[in-house]
Amino acid sequence: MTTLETQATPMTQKSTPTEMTHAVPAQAMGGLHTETTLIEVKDCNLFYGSKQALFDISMNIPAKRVTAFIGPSGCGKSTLLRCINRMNDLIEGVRIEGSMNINGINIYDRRTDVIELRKRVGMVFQKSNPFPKSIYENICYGLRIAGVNDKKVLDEVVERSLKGAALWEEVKDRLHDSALGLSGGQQQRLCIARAVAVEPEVILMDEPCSALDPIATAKVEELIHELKKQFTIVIVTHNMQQAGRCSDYTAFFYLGKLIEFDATERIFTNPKEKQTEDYITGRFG
Amino acid sequence: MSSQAATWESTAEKKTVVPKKAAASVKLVDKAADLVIRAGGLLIIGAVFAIMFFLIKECVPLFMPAKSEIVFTKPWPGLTGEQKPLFVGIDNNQAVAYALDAGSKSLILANAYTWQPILQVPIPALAASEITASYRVPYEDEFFAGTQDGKVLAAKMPVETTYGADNAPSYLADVLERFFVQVGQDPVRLVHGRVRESNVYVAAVLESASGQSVFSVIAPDGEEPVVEPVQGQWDGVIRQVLMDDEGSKLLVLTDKGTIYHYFLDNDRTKPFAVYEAKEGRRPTAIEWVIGDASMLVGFSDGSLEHWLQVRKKSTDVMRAYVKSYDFDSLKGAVTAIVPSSHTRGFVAASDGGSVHVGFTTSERTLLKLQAPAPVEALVYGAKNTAVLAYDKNKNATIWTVENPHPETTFKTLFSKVWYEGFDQPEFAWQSSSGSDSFEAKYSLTPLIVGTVKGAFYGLLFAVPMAIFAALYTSQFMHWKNRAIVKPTVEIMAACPSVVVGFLAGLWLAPLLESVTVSVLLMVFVIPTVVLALFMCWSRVPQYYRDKVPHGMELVILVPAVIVGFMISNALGPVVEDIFFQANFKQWVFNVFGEQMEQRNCIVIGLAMGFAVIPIIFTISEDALTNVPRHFVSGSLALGASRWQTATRVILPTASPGIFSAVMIGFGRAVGETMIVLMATGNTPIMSMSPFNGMRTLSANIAVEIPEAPVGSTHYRVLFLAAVVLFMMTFAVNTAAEIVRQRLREKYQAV
Repeated sequence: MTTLETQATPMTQKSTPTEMTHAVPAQAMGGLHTETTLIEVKDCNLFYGSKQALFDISMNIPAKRVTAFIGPSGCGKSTLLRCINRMNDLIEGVRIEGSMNINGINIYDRRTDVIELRKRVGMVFQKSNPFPKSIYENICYGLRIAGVNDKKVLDEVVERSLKGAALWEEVKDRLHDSALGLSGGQQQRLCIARAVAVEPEVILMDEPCSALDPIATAKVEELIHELKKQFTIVIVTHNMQQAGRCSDYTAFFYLGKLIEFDATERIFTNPKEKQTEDYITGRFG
Repeated sequence: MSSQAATWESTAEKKTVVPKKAAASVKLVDKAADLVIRAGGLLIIGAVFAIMFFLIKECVPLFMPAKSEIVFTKPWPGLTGEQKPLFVGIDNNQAVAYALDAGSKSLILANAYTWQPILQVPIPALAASEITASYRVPYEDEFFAGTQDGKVLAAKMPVETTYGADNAPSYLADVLERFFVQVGQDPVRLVHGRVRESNVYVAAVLESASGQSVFSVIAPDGEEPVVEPVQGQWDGVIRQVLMDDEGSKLLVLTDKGTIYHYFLDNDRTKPFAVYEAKEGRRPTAIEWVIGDASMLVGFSDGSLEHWLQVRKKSTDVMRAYVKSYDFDSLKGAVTAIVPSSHTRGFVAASDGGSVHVGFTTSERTLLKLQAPAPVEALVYGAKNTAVLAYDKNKNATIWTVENPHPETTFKTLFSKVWYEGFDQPEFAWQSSSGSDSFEAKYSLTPLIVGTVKGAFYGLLFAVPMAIFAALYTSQFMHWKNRAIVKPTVEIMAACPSVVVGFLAGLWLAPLLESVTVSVLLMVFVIPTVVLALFMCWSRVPQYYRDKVPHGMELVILVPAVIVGFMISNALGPVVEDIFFQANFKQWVFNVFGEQMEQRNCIVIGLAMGFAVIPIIFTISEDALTNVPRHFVSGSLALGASRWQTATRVILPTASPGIFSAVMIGFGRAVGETMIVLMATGNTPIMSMSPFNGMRTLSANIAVEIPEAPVGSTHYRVLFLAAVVLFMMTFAVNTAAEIVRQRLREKYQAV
């Protein structure tokens, strides 16, 4: 955390999220206007080299809610998700225009510390990716790299995070066994627990259940439901039922454009756009 | 199977574009490929085993026990005297046995195989007097005889066997007088001597009613012999005198078992050292081992010891004897000891009839033979393949002895051995020299130590460099640079090691010698300069940094390294002046007590490092690059920096691959020959010190195999060195594989 203290980035100056939330603009649809916005995307264009992948995306993602991104493959939903914690930086030749604010701070500002950003915006990937370490060390990883090495604190965080990810009962007797010995569903929940352990504000989930069986999927969805009490969750999913079951708001993307963004209930029962309806009813995609 | 095939047969009738049945040619090619691959694999395994088998086969004789067979026990044909022959011997071809008959005053020759008398050669010089003492030099056709009237004869007795057309042997023997000198008026009781390059050195004991007196008779290079007395107070009747082959050392053994040790050049009036009998046993027979430096001492209780000369202080010129080895005891008192003519072997016999064949270097009693009666005279054939004992019953017994490699035991090969001229047991490798009396030293330990040392210093330089380079290349470098850097480093491996060794030995070593301090400074200065540069770089405003295209930061490293190089070069002499008393070499000698060699481990490290860096770099780089990207993403998404990700996730995950890279590098360094041959100085020393060189197993084989006679001990020991090298690399690779499997299990990627 030393870097945060020495470098006075705008993010650290405004460390209390609640007071910085903005009212959702009036033109927002459905119940959105009653929510407080956490992530504000404005005219976001993204290019992979010369190929444009996102076109003028503007949306306000509300705090402490689950927002689902849906759409056919290649529609840019994962790309947008990865913009939120700047994971796209790792890809060669990516160029982003427009702005993306979290708590009113532009995360693409030159002075923004990416490392701090990622500590605030955690991510769970499509493929569960526990490190080849013990369960305990996997959870601790985020704390250890931040310089927290106090055994008492770590023990506490591990227990709390695993309980938070509904994994504690299953693994409490083998915390020091390799995380790779867990089942696929357990590994994914471990990754969620790992993300939770650093206490982020936002958790991004990139198709977290696509490699899981229905029972494991149900557990993760249950977990998402629990987590939204504390965290803002953005989830990319191919599974329409999943979006319907566990999200509060749904955004539908098509060919790099945001087609419709509204309360999940409305999207699924009464979509405004024809394309949305076609996709939801399974006519394409 | 067949029913299924039948159904498929029927369905295949439906015409489809893609034929469902594989063509016969496809199956044939498949089968052939399978066969070829299998045969290739088996051939490789077979070849490795064949090499191993061949190497071991060449070494096995080193460890074979000695074999012996008794040929016969027969009385000597043609001896006339009542008493025993004055001496017995066998010629250099081991075809003719001879004895000096006191009665007829002639040499009596017999065919050593058929035991038929051949010739009788009279000795005219002795015709007028009675022979009272004699001694045959064990490794020359030379003998000495003393007479009743106080004269000593030195003579050569060449025996030649020629084979005619019908393969029938014909013999030619003669006695050529060297000198016949009057030593005193009293009868000569004992005589002993050596002949070296026509210098004759004799010691004689004369006995009169009034007492006994010892004389040295020295005739250098055919000149008139000089007779001089040796003075001393002897505590009993003198039983033996020994004169060495320089006319300097003289040993006198009395019947009380006391040995008086003279250095005649130094003091003829009193002994330099006196060794008294202890513990109720006394020496009864003594004899030099070849080279006349160490000696064998036989005792009244049958025990047999090897004594070596040892310095008390490093400045001592004259050295006293101390006991070095014990051999198996004989039955009864030791009566005769005969050294081998060209090795450190010997034969000893006792009045209990024991005949032991032994070897001093290896501390071995090779054979325990039994003669039918107490042994009075003994011969060890010139080829060390026959032993003749003449016993109290006037019978000669001949044994054949087969033991081509008496000098090798596990102890002499791998442990400390107390060699002649050494003050304590040591590890030593010194396989050959110009003289026959040289004691070959075949300890593989210095070579093994040298091998490990070379590999260690090579890796000390190469491992950090290669692994950090791999980490940087795989994790931080721009992919465009990476595409250039990796193949370039790999090309380094293509540089012939003989070129690397040549440059290191003949160009780098002399160069480094003068700038050692600067080179050592570079280890610290260059990284410091580079780090300082990057510190400055991080202070440069982002705006300017963004202007530099990604990947070009490498270019600014080049001047940094050059500047670091120049700073070290300039600082070197200054630092040497201030901290190392203006002379690093002298400072090393003062502080560590070690001479700093030109061919030292800095040179080896650089040269060997150059050879092993490419292989370690390539394998490590692959291992690091192959760490699944999702680990990297997972780590970064948790707010880890790239460095944290690299050290905490990527390095551990790639550790099995890096480990095997290091081990393969180690294997390469252990087996490396040309570099160590040319750049190490090839001194077989037992030292891990970085200031001197080494001799490795591989370089040793390369250096010495051309000069080792096929089938000799030296030749077989070199093969053993090859086996040891093989085993070392085998052990390292096996251990590496086991560890790698374990690590891989631990860090396996899902």
